[in-house]
Amino acid sequence: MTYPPGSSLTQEWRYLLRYRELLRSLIAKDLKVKYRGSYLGFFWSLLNPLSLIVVYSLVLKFIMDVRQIEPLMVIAGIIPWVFFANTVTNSTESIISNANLVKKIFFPREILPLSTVLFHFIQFLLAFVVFLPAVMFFKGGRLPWTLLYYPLILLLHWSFTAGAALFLSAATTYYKDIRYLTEVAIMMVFWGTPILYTYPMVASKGLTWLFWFNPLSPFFFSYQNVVHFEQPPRPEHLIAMLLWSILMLVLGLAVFRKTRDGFAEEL
Amino acid sequence: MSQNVIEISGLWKSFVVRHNRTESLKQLFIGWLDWRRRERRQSFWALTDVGLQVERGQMVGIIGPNGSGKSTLLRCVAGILKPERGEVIVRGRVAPMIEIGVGFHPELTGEENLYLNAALYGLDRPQIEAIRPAIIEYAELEEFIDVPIKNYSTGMYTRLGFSIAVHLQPEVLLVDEILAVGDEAFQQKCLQRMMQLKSSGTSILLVSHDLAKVEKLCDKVYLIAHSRLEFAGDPVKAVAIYREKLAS
Ligand SMILES: Nc1ncnc2c1ncn2[C@@H]1O[C@H](COP(=O)(O)OP(=O)(O)OP(=O)(O)O)[C@@H](O)[C@H]1O
Ligand SMILES: [Mg+2]
Repeated sequence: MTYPPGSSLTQEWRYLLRYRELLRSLIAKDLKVKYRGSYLGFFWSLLNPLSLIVVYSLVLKFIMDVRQIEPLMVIAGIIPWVFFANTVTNSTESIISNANLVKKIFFPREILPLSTVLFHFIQFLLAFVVFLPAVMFFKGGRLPWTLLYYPLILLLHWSFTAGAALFLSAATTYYKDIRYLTEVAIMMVFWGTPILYTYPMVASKGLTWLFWFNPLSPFFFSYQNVVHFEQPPRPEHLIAMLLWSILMLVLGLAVFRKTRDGFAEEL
Repeated sequence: MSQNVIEISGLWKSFVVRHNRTESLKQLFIGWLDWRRRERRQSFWALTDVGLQVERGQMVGIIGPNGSGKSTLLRCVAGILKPERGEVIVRGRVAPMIEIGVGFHPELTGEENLYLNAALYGLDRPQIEAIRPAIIEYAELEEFIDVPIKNYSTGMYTRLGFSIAVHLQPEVLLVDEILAVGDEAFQQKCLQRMMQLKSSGTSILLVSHDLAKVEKLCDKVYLIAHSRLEFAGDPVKAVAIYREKLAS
């Protein structure tokens, strides 16, 4: 065997698989470091979404008194949004904060952004422990059947997020500003994404065309559909999600593959 | 049969040095306005036309002045750097020891760091579990293995890192001046262990400024100066040529 291995995709995939213990260890490290020394430990992963849900419910129900906005509608989007926003913001540091490793040991560099994505994905899955009871609470004790679509939306959303993370981690290695740019952009994207408003609201203003420019909007329209409106995702949104998730993943992988050999020199 | 474990031919590696390096967009804009502060890229060859062969179970030394390209050569062998030209063939697994305890996290215990560090070298869980007891015993850390390593002394930290590296059972061990750290006893222990590995068939590529040790231990020595290979062969001769160069 030559080392490092050749560059055919199957060879690379096999090589990546050999390092799954590393991926596991890195995620375990992040989780341990995060909670070690805190009294509530991993319960923070539940308290975080719980506080989000409670705060949004109370504010929307009793303070803002906006008839149009219901708590569950916002809760449907806010939990996946936190996953996306945290992953993307942190992924900019995946490579540069591990400069020491990259410069001194050879291992598949993809492991680093991937561990960031999976770390936040685990937090996201933990949030379901409070999310599902919240849905039942607002739906009078039952779960909408349209939740069966949820795993599909999640899978596509995951792939979109992973693609973005690969791209951003590589790009930040060459241009450090991308890290700060991402932080600012995320804040603006939040308002440009249907989280605090819904498809009917957008449609009533005749603005649906505007949302084709935001790749995230089909995902969040769909989350609201299956959780709040109890409807399947709209077909055009399904197609858009599929296209965007594939496009983003391919773009992220391509940029990463093209630039990764230079990481050790650049850092 | 003496098939070469490492085989390098016609290796060229260049670096880009950047004066006024553009690291931010602000600097990029300034560069557009003011040419004196624009980034100037200058590439230079850190290695030119280097060849190297290491046989199974050989200990091969690399010597040369500061900045001559020794560490660069080692990192090309490890796959960390991609050479511009030439071929690097390594038959088997490589364990680079460019620094001891790479990736150790101060908040994690010795045991947790052991798993993380070994995984960085590509071992899977059963493999790590198999060498775990030997690592802990060799590092003499039985008492402290479940303590966060931020509470370790420098010596304990080094012992753990070294112990992991030498228990990975790689075909090729790359060692970059790590013998310089640690006290006399530790150095003795390191050398002893490396000789042991060597006799069990591991090839060792050793970068060192300790000429006496290189002369004594290595089977073959490469002398690199100014990115070029000056001499390859008999250790005594290589060291003599190097000493002569240093004197002149
Ligand atoms: N990432 C990098 N970017 C630009 N230049 C680099 C980089 N890494 C090394 N160099 C340059 O390459 C040359 C060779 O460096 P190298 O570290 O291989 O030297 P060395 O022989 O190991 O020296 P020493 O004995 O001091 O360790 C040096 O001039 C160094 O400045
Ligand atoms: Mg060096």
